[in-house]
Amino acid sequence: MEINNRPLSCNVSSEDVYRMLDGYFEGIDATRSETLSSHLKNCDCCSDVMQFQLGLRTVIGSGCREELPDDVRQRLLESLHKLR
Amino acid sequence: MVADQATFVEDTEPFMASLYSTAVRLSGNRTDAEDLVQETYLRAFRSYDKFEAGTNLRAWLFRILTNAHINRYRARQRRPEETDMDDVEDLYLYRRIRDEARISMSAEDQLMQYFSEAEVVSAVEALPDAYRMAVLLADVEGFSYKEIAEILEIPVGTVMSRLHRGRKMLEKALYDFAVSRGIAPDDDTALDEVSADASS
Repeated sequence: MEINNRPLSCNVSSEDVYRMLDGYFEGIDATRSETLSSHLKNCDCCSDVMQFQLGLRTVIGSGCREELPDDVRQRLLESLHKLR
Repeated sequence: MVADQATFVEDTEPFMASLYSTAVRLSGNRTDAEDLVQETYLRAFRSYDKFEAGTNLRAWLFRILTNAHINRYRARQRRPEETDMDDVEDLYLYRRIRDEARISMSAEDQLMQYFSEAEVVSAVEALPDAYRMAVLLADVEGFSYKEIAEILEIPVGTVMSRLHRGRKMLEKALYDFAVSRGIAPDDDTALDEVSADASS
């Protein structure tokens, strides 16, 4: 399938969305990064995308967290105390 | 100033829970995760005199953890294969599921209507190692891109591209779960207008 990285309805490219999301503007000139930052502040479309992407990261993050069971903690600590 | 082995346990214990959590996702099960954390602590203890006190201890421990994991599973490729990954469209999930309830619902709540936490875990565990490590360090442990670069000993640009690709692969895998349960249309239907463009 041909990849189709269509721009958003506000005409911002997906690459720029990711740039704004990460606050990472390396490789693009200062004028353009300022334009993007000020666009972001006023654009409902971009802010919705970003909220969605950040929400996705939150979902991934909280879904993957694993509790440390007490018995495992105890065993690990015991082996740590034997280290000296 | 170098770190002192006498304070090793109290210095490092606060990071045990997050090391274990990451170890479970890296190794895929609790038994191996416990071994991996134990090995991490042993290695860390032995080289603790090389750790510079006052620098980032948490990142240092995660560097030992990921290295220990890589050494264990040397058979698996350290570098991801770069095939097939670029096929996933940018903002894959957003373009497919965000339209309907955008006003009333948070992104998190909307996402969880399409797949479960267990599916998130299995999608993450199915990622190639290099992508999985980057995603876990960023999205679960909250390390900065610069810290991840130091932990994995790769340039920041590589961190970003692995995260970008890894997250897109996750988006695709999660969407596929929703499709398989019949709560999202399959890709051909969802992307009617794109197919029409491609065939014209």
